[in-house]
Amino acid sequence: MNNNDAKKHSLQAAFEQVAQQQQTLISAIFPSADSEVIDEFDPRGMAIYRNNLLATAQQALAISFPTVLTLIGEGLFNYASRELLISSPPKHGDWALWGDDFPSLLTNLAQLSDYPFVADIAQVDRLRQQSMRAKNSVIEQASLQLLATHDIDEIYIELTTSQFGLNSNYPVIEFWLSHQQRVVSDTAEELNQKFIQQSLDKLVQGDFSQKVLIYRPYYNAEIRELSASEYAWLTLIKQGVSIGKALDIMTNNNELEHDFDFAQWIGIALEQNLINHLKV
Amino acid sequence: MSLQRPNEKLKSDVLIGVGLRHQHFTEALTTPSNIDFVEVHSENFFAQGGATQSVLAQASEKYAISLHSTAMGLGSAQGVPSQYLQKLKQLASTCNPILMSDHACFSWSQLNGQQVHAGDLLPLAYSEQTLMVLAHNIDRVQQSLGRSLLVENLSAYIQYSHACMPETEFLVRLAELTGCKLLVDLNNIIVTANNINAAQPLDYAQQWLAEIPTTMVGEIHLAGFTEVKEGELIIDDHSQAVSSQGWQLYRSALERFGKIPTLVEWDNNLPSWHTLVAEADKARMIAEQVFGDNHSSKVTTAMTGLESEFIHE
Repeated sequence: MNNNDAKKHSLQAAFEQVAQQQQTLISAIFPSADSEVIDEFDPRGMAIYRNNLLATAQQALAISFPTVLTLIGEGLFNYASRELLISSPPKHGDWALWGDDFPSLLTNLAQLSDYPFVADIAQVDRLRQQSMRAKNSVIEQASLQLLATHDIDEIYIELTTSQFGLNSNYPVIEFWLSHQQRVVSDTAEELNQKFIQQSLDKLVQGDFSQKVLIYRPYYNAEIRELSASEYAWLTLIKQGVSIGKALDIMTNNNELEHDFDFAQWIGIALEQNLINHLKV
Repeated sequence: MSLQRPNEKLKSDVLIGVGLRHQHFTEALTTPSNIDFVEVHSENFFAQGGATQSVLAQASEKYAISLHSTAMGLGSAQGVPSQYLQKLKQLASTCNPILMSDHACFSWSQLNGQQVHAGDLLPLAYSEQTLMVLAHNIDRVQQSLGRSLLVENLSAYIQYSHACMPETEFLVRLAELTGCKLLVDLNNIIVTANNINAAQPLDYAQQWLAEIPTTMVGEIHLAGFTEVKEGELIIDDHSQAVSSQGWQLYRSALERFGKIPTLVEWDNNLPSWHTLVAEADKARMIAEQVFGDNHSSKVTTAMTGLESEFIHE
């Protein structure tokens, strides 16, 4: 073995040995489903690391899922945070990216079996966070000229990456709105009650479903309801179908109400920062 | 690494900065402050867009920026993921930081066969093997960033039985191996001294500093911690003003290491922006006393009440 090989071998051995030590410590810090922990260290020190992990996890999820926290309360929220640490430990080095699996964890939480809409509220919170971290974009105004120079069958729309769609069986917009009043006051309470009443009115409708758009006009992510036709339109555009072709498909779809007006939509889309640019 | 920025943002010989946290964004950007740089936690600005990017752009118009990472996990045998490094590199290219730093710790590992990030600064065993791992990772990061890093000493709450060298020897050898400089966190030394029951924590800390070569330090961190009952471990929670021991140690550090950029960290139980800046003013005043230059002083806060704290040590 020459000098270089020996060095490489020694480095590899060092990595393996240290990896083993570090895995042992990590296993002792992370909460475990079977509560089996290996404890070689000062228990006071280990308690600090364990508490710190739980506290940071709860804090991170509270930032990403503020509405869920308000909805289910701190006790259950903290319990769910610990469960998420067990089932989906963080892997990015950026707590803001942790929590993709939180909505599905909430779906399966026995304590929430009577409140199935909470998981969809979690999706709204998650998508709003994603939207607010997405790349900034401003419409390329010049590309709008294509509408004057080309046939719409040849024109495609590149949507902004800060928008997300969601389909729910619950009136998530009204539920979500009813938990956004951070200041307790009679007016806020009145507003909350109004949204809750709207939610309940919608829930009694048979086969209820709601299509939701999360979008970001500037820095704050907004939320609004999509009609079935606009939802279908955005789906086609995201799939890379040209404007003309998408309009044809929608006209021929008998399941859609023919209430989609492209000229009107362009105005709204510009106002709400839905379009990045047009292209041929 | 150059600390020279050709503009008027740097206000004194000893650069004095504060940690910029979310709650202070508006005031930091709109209030005149006598500080030279602000330190931000890199990972808080990893998003591709949004308001934080705008804040960072505005902050870098007003202050020099120090990028302090808390999640690189430089001592991880798992390595530092390329994706993380890419984000850090991208961030550095947008804000042109005067300093870049992280800790002598590990964060990445495996849990049940999957990559995991500990979400914390976990302590390293001061052994030959760990030194090789840490040096190898730092070398890779420095190559990737095209600049040297500052590596910070940690507050550790556990001790490894198989550690075979003191923390200072470990850090000095690391700096020699990699060309990195040290970010000496004075509060961390005091916290560790207390947690290992050093008879005289301040003496322990002074000795710690004496074991570091004078040319090896690139930045100093100042912070405070919550007092605990006897028998409990102190947590490095950055929740208080700098302790009187911290200020005494800062004077010693400047006397030993020279005009080193200094940062006041305050992360929990945040005070007003004004109070935080006043802590930075205290640091500037000590620097002026140590180096005998007051031409850089732009301290505007009432100092009368503070003087006794510095002079009668």
